Amino acid sequence: MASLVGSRVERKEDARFLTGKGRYTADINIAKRDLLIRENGYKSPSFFE
Amino acid sequence: MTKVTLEVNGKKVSKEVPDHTLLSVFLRDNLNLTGTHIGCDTSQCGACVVHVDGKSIKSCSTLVADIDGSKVITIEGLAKDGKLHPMQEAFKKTHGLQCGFCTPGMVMSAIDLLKIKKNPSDQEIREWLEGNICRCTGYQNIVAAVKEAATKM
Repeated sequence: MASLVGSRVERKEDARFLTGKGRYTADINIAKRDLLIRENGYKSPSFFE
Repeated sequence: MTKVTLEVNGKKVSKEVPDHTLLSVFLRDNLNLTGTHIGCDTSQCGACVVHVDGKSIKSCSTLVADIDGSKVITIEGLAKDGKLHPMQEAFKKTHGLQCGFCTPGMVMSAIDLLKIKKNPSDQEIREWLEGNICRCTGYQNIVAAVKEAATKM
């Protein structure tokens, strides 16, 4: 197996950062999430996507 | 309230918004296009750069009512059929991003530069991107990315 040590590795996150699909704190719609939590209780983050 | 009609990434959108609505807020809150970032809200950082009728502008200092009827392209509208725009490809290849927050603005600005100047020098790239701040300080590779893209566009 080729060693990963010192070799260039493609970053998995670049594709989403470059296409505007990154998720940052400011992207969370607090009001909407708050309402969903009130209606559904606490769920895993993926529930609110 | 004002009614504005725009073409955003090829799609017609029409919405009633308060007169003071900024383009950045309109894109993020009304259209859920959160790829356009608001870093400073005072037009210093350039994270909010989008194209309006082909020219790069800072969407955080543009009233959406002012550009009624325009064509807007955001970072979400660059990739075609899952294929990245040459500028996006170049950023990926040259490691031109770290956290990715400034990247949408950098990419949109740089594309406009290459429209005006085919093969910009390092100096010209740095001067053009003066209004785009990268807090990861990865400027070296951003310049490399723009140079790489210049050979492909």
